[in-house]
Amino acid sequence: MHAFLTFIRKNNQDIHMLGIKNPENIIELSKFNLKSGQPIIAVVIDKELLSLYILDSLGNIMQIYGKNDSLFDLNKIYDLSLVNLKKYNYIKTLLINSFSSLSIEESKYKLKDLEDLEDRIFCNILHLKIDLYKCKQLIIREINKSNLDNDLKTRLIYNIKKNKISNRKILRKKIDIDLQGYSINIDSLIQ
Amino acid sequence: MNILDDIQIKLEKHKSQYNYLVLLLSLKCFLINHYECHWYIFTNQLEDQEKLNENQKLSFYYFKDLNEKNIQSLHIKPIELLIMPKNKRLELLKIVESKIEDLTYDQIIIIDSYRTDPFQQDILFDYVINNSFFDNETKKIYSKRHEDGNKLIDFAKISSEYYESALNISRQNKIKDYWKNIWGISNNYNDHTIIENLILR
Repeated sequence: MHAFLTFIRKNNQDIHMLGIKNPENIIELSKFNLKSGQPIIAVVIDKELLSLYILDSLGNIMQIYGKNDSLFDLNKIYDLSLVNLKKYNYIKTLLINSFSSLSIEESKYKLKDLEDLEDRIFCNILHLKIDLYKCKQLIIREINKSNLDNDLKTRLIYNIKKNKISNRKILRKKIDIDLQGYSINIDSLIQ
Repeated sequence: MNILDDIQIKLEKHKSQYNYLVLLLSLKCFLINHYECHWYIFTNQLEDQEKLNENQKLSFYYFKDLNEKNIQSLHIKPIELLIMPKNKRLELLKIVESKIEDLTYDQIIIIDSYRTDPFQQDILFDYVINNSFFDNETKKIYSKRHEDGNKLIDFAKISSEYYESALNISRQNKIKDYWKNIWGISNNYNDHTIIENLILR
């Protein structure tokens, strides 16, 4: 039995956990509203997904699949998120800044389209083995392909283009996980 | 050296400093990701009104600068705290909180994170409303602030999902920026004279 910290990749109903071979019962996850780029902890045993935990922005974990809290039986979580961490932080920062060019009303009105756009961006870019500087280009391509109005596309793209990360160290920020109450450590040695 | 040990050594070095408590409070603000918010050291006595009057007149920029300056005087870079893994941050927070507790056994510390973030709990409002030594004018101000915060969150209709997408975070940031321009700065807390009220409102 092994626990992994990684990201979800969801393309319509196809779900995948980056860095993990799909467990045979992966279909079970389609009933949950998971999003591409969402960090999760998966506990896998013999090609079977035993339990799945989602994380909030403060690092609190919540089990959404599995009968027992398997993390109590383990002493290590393998951190596979490190492979895509810089890309994840970079894309997320770019998107947060870009979306801020929209008014509250606009983002409310176009909520579904914007959510779909974000999902597609993470789905199509996060797993790629590319240099960080190429992310901007690919995000812009996804925005251009979206159903948004031209005016919105122009503003989003303008913000993506002009955005600069103020401190490169921020890209190394690991996924927060609050493991208080568990006697489990995170193994970050996987490269 | 482990970053936790390193910070603890730095804290020990400043232990005898007259503003040690203030340094710890600034550090706590960073650890809870509210480094630009006001904090108050109340004594549960009449003088709390005066303390509140003094502090609330300051903009959140003042506290942002103060907290940053205090952190730097401890020789800690804000980015170090920002990228610190959650478990280490929680551990450090526990240490800092216990040090604050040791220094403030008869005082009440309130970190007014609601002033810059309406998604937080309004602890200061609860304290002001439930204590008789605050005057009615103060209670009115904080009730209005609390009411405005609730209205704003209702208006934004930001769905609370466990995983926060970039879109959700961005929308929340927008609301926070808007809120800071209303209740983060000092205008709404100042006592206006009748003439000022006529001009300003």
